[in-house]
Amino acid sequence: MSHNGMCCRIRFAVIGALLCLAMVCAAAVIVSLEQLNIGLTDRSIVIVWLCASLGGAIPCLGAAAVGWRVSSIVARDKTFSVETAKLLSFISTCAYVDAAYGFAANIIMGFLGFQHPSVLIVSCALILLALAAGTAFAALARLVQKAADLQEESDYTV
Amino acid sequence: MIQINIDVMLAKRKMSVTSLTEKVGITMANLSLLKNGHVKAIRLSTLSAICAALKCQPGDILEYVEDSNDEK
Repeated sequence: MSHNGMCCRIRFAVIGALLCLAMVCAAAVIVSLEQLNIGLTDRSIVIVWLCASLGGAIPCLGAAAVGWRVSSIVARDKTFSVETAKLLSFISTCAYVDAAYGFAANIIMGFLGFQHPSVLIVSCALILLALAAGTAFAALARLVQKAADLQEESDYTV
Repeated sequence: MIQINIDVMLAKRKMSVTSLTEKVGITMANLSLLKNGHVKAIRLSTLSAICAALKCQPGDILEYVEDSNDEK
């Protein structure tokens, strides 16, 4: 696979992830509006949950932007560099922040009495997914850093 | 750090840098890195080719220079 092919794959994955995020946010907004229209739930609960859910999308947007930048670096055939390692580490941090945010939001919602078992289960699954992604990207960043060091040593061997 | 003193031997042998690169088989860029001390490693085959081209011993072109990084 060429570096341009890899760049296309990364960009395809980023666009796919952004589309999924947009659909999840749209579904959250639609469900919230339906709840408000029907009058099943208190207005304040819906608004708080909506804000909490959309707030969790911010680290995902940051990770997607950085992922696009990584794809540009891969296209220039400079995959094993310190800059790539730092960007992957940033994506890992975004994932951990998202997991921590989700955990804190669920705890707060539980104390406020705005929690529902089905929402809790889905939230826990998403938190686990974020933790797994954060760990995977942290390991990848470490490997890329090691590869960058070897690349530099190889480039400066006469 | 190890310093590579090629200029002195080039002057002694009255050889140009371009001629040396042709005989050794490395690029001008790599030879420039070698002269300026930016290389991290040198292959024994390259060192052997340089010594053969300059008709000298490795000790004639390699010199150990103390600096603060080595003390660490």
